[in-house]
Amino acid sequence: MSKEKKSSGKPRNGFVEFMTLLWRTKKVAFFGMVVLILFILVAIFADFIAPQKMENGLLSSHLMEAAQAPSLKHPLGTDAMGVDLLSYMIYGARTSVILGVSCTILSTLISVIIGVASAVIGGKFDLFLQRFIDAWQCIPGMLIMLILMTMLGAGMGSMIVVLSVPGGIGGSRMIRSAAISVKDSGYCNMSKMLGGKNLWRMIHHVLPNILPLVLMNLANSLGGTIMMEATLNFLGFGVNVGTPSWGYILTSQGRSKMYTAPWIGLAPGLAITIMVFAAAMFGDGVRDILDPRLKGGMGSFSKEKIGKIAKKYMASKKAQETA
Amino acid sequence: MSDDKLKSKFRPDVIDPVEKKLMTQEGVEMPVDPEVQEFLGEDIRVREPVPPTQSPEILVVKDLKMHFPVTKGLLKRQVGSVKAVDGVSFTLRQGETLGIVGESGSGKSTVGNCVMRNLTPTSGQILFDGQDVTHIKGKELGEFHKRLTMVTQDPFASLDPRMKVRDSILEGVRINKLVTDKQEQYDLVARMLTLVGLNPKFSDRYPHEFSGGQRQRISIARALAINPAFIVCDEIVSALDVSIQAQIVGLMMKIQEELGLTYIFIGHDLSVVRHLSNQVAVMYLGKFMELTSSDELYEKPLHPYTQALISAAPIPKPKVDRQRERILLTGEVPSPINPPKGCNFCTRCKYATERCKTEDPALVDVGGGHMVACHMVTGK
Repeated sequence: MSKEKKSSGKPRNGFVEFMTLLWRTKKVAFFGMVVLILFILVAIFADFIAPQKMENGLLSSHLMEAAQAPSLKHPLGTDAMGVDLLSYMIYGARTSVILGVSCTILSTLISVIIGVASAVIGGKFDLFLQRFIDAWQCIPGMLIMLILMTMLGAGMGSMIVVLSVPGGIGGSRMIRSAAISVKDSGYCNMSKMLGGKNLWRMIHHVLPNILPLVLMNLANSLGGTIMMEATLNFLGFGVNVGTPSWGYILTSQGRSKMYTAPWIGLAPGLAITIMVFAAAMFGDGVRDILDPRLKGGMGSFSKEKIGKIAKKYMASKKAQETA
Repeated sequence: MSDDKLKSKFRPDVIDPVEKKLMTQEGVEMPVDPEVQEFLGEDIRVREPVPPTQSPEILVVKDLKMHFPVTKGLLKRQVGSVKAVDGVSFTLRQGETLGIVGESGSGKSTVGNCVMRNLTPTSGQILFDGQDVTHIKGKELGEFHKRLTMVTQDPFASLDPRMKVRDSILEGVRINKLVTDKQEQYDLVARMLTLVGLNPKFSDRYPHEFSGGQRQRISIARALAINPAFIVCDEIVSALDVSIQAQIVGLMMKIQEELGLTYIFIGHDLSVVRHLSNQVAVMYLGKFMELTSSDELYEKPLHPYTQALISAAPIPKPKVDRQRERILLTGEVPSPINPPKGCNFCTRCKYATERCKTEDPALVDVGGGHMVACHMVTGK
């Protein structure tokens, strides 16, 4: 895309243009993106930010300070074991944010690849793939996850696989049905008539047209993934026993100490809510900007940008006419 | 133009010039609105009957049949077939236009799709420029599609809403790598848009910013960008309103003259098809009923079905229109799964005899290239 722009005499960077548009027309989406980036940064640099450092993969507990309300020493209070909640949250971001974001992206990617390929290739390929997915969906999701977890063993890598593959296969259904409606449209048939192969049609017609659905899918499954990680953690199949995670503290201590120490549940609950909301707003904004039909989308500024080629062509034609 | 339109609204005897031009068969010394004149670039005039030309035959279709299987049960047992096209033959010379008319379900679009090779015919032969294209596949089909292309009916469905006009027009060029240089590609788009009467600066816009007629022009530009020799126009004007129809028809004729293209023009509007075509074929239930030069067909229709069709088309002269005899057809079109044994039209024909019900009439030349499939016309 950037190459094309260069030849029209005005180098346009797609990314810069996108960011400018996001800032100018979709403020909320822009802040959503900033929040997401902040969360990811916190997760990456947890070791430098957290007031209480991790030792041997564990946060030391001080039972004397158990379940204290937020104070200057512990800005978010402490949990039932006397662990500083702020540090717990920062280290927990490692599991929850990184796992959540990467699993969501990976699972959507799997859905898109399976769904689009199944729809566009069609025929026997589609038939067999869909029967396999039918069979897959007959087995309860939790069972598959637990079996996979047992097979792969604990750890970050296996968690990513377990949280993204089953969801991705299940989600491919929705993508496939959307892709089929695009595939059968007039412009896709026309592309076929002009000689477009399957891959060409997938990239140039099907993917751009199912993008809104994909983005919605991304934003919606983020919260679910974080909570699913907590569930697995609760069952003893987490990254590692004792590894901090937002979902885990919310389901274990947050609920049981809801009346005596509400801050324990409040901190992870709010963090998850903010992140999911940010992701939803960001996804929404991206979708609107990429849709040329909506006001404020990528197409809305194109009218001002009269291609230099067109101008030059008209000028040369005029010159020809006068000559 | 607006003045005349207003007049025509209040005084029915003043007809809008565009419609007048399109509808009147003489087409000479008609007062032309300067605005329309400028827009179309040149006069739209009814084509004179073309004598048998010396130009080479570009498309020969021999006994084309397209039967779609009807299956039943779990094992997909074939219980019959829909005879969408059942034995159609015609020859088309370079630079000519064949019009195909017929009611819905008569198989005219299927003929177009078979010629385009979107469908593989059940039997028969299609020769394009001497090459047998009936069963080609893969690369050969790709090469074939560089020389023959299609414009479809619905301008709202045929353009990708997320593609800029430029990318839509260049799609065929990019797929086939006809022009690789970016600058040349841009020039090509500008040229194509000018050719179809749109401003070249529209190339950065998206399809939703255009009206139906403009979109149809973009579709035509996309078809022309790969520099084809042959275009199948599948009801390209039926989704547009009448004044836009006139523009598009004028445009198609202008392009044909400039680029020497050959068309198959499928439609159900008799006056539009007559205006554009050298030859017109009347189709009914998968068969050609009559095939002749366009003026001959409208002035001397021989087949009872053609007569009924022409009598149903309105004439923009109220006095003549009112005095005309209407031929009303009774009954329904028989099912193409189980067509009549004899002539397909015998169930609704008022002249039908016993012979019509048992013997299928062949398409016979009755003189001067006028082909009719009817026992009453050809029989002794």
